Amino acid sequence: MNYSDVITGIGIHKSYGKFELSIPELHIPKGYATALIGENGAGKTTLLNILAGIRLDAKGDFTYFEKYKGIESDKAVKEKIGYVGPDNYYLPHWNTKQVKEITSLLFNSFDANRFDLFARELALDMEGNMNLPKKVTELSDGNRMKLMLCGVLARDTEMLLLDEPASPLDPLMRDKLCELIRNYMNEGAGERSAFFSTHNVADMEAVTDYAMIMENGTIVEQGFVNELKEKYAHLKEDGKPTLTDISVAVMKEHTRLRLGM
Amino acid sequence: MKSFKTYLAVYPFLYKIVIIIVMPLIVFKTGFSACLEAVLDTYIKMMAGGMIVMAAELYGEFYSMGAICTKKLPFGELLMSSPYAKEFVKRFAVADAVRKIVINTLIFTLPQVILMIMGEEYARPFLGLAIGVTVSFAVLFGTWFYRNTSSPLMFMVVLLATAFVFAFLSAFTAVLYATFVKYIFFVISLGLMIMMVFVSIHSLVKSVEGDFYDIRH
Repeated sequence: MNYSDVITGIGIHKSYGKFELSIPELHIPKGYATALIGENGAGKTTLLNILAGIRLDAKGDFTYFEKYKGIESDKAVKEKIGYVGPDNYYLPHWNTKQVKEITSLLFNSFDANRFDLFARELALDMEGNMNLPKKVTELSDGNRMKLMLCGVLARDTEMLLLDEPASPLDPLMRDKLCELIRNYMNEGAGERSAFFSTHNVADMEAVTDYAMIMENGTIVEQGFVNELKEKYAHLKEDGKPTLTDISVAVMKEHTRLRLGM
Repeated sequence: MKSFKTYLAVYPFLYKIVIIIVMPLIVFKTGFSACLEAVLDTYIKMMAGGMIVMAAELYGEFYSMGAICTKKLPFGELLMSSPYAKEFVKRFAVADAVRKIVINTLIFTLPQVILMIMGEEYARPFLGLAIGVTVSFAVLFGTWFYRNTSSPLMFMVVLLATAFVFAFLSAFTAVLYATFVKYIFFVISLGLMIMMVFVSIHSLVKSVEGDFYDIRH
């Protein structure tokens, strides 16, 4: 399948304590939704942090949107990327109203009306709750994730980098998340991409075009979902493995090889 | 204007109400009543006002931005994913220092100036200015310290240390009010305050720069 890269990374390397991330080549396809799958500690968050430019201590040559050499090469790069992460995303004392104000000061393309629209769509603004500022630390994990998603979707971006967006959401909202990502991509007419890490492979399969499987700091398998399903057809008697089946088999195999079992 | 907007967006609502409106009004009123009595009484009431300002400012700082410059509580990934993270923090740091200096200097100086214009015998505008500058230095120092420590136990230690420095500088200014030496202590306070402006801005900007690295350089 012919495609160009939205992000290209060559010789990505980062070590921190005993952990080592080492990816000789990374090609994230433009215009597709790519899932980053791996067990805890595989390096998914580290890779997403590096790509989003919130960690600048990794080695490697990066090209963004086919023309920008590195995340810090031009302010336009970060403007075009919508990043959502599960950790210290907001300062603890910020409330929902402040989040909206601060996001508008941090990103030129932030649209407050779109933010309100998504807040209603994600049931975050039920009965005008957003008008009653609530500390982000008082929000449930699911509502905090919705707030983060509203913030990135209210901007004019060309790529979403989402770290475990499905984990804190209930099944209904996971379905909604897939719909939001799909709508986001469709509105971009091939110019928008999404790259998200997930443990909820089954829930996110509906929106996954391309998958990368990480194990112990490196990418051990990748490809378009339909191609992977053909490659791993032998895993199931009916010849139709799910992305979960493929991920589990690949991770088990590479763990076994790594441990010499 | 954008700096002030950034500043207002970052602090919690309660902090803004107490520190920018309620506390200055209380100390401002104290300044007026102080001038109607003797010079020593004026000084004591200004000292009390200074302690109120420091306690309120540092308490607010501890609970809103405490430990923000330590690795334990980084600035937040939202900020770091923005292309304007460093500019945002710099704008905030500058507006924060300016707000602290302007309000804390005005609430001690303005009542004295107004009363002097009204012909009040015991009005002491210079003493008000000196104490305002000293309070500003003490608040900037405490603010910087709280942002760089994650230990709650340090709260009282720093508050007491800051109060001591403030009392020392302002007491000399007041006791030696009739002599030329008061200007020396004023210049010392002013110098310390200006130094703390640069230290607090530099510390905050360096901190956000350090948050981009797992191991700080």
